[in-house]
Amino acid sequence: MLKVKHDELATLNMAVNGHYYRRAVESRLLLVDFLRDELGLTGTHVGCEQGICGACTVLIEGVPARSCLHFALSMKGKEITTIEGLSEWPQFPAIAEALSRRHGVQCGFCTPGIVASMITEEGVSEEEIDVLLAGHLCRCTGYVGIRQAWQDILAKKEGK
Amino acid sequence: MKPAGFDYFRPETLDEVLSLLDEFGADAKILAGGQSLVPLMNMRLAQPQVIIDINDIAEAEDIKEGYQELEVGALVRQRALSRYTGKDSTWELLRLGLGHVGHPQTQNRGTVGGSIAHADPSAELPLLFLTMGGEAEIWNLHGSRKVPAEQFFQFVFSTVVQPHEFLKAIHWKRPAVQAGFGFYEFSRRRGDFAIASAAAIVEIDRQKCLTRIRLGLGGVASTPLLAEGVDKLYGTTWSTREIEGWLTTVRSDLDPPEDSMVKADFRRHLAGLAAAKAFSSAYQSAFKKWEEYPDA
Ligand code: FES
Ligand code: FES
Repeated sequence: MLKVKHDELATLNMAVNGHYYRRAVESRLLLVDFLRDELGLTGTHVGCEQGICGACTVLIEGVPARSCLHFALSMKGKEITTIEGLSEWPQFPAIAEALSRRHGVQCGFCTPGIVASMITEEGVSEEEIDVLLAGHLCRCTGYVGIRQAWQDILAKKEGK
Repeated sequence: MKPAGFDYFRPETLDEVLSLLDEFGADAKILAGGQSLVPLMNMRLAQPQVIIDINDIAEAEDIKEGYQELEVGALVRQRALSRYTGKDSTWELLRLGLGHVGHPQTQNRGTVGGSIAHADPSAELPLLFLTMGGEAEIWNLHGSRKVPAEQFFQFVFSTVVQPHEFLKAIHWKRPAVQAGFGFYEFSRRRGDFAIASAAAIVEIDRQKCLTRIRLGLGGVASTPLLAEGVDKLYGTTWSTREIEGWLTTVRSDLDPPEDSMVKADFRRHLAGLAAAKAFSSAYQSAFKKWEEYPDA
């Protein structure tokens, strides 16, 4: 059983974007702060720190989740993917292109989280796009461009 | 903000979890999906001294369907249950309600047991548990007990689970084959907690007479509530006057909480609407089942 006292540092091994990292961390360190401050992966943004805004969304074992609501230590041995890793995925150029064409990005604060949801949620319906987008706050675009970009990608997949 | 410091334990077996709870009791908090606990810790509304991370407990990971119930382990993610219930109209009420729980991105990690143990009075899963009925399986170092849904919730954020105990699984009662389901919720944005919500199960017989009704209300008291006085409708067919009369009594009996955004009267009003909508969808769904499978 892993035990870490509040004033101790524990060794954390984690795979992020296919690279293995080993760091000494406090138990209270959040995953998002680990990614940004310890690993320098600042593409993951931090907004509300309470699970509402979606800016910190990354993939935990391939599934979109809030990195502000997980302790780094509890991700020990898990595989994490951030926007830096997603940008190497084969699906990424098409998503980037669609978002750009549809003006789905303005300040870009929400974008890394939204891409994490877009890239993994395959085969969604138009209705599900809205449900998934509701998990991300965007203060700039009004969502219409993002939704259109997502629809474009689905349409392409279906060969329309 | 950032959470305050805590001692972190990551047990590998149920016995280890129970020993830790026995040792630390009220100083400890169980961490499963963390979607309710970690926001509170980040805001320092919760500052547990000990965190017991149960994510390695394989005994709590399964969904097991039995003849009379659906057993959902403490670690089953909300999204997993949502996907599971998507296949089967028996568990339709669960699917309907889960559609309002947070967002897919939080459901991927948030657990069913965690939300029920957290017992937010306006959360959907506690309301679903009370409405569907069933039992909570609670363990401590010396054994286990099962508590019916009707006795489980005590107060805001408080249940019968004691500090040294562990909610290992929820056993959802299997509804009748011909039962109809309805769920309705008022919230400001998709994924928010409900201002008022209602879940309903309606059973009717071949003559379309009401035989069993469960109507649960969320957001209107310190725990979810079951509407009373339903039995006087049993044996009668749909009568808008009778049903509205009953719902008016249900609504006026409520003593809902008030905050700066929602006055008590407004919440009572929305609860009444949610109840009426959930109830009539449940009736319609039961009616449709009889039409489709008259011989069942
Ligand atoms: S920072 Fe994690 S959801 Fe807002
Ligand atoms: S582009 Fe600015 S928040 Fe979405």
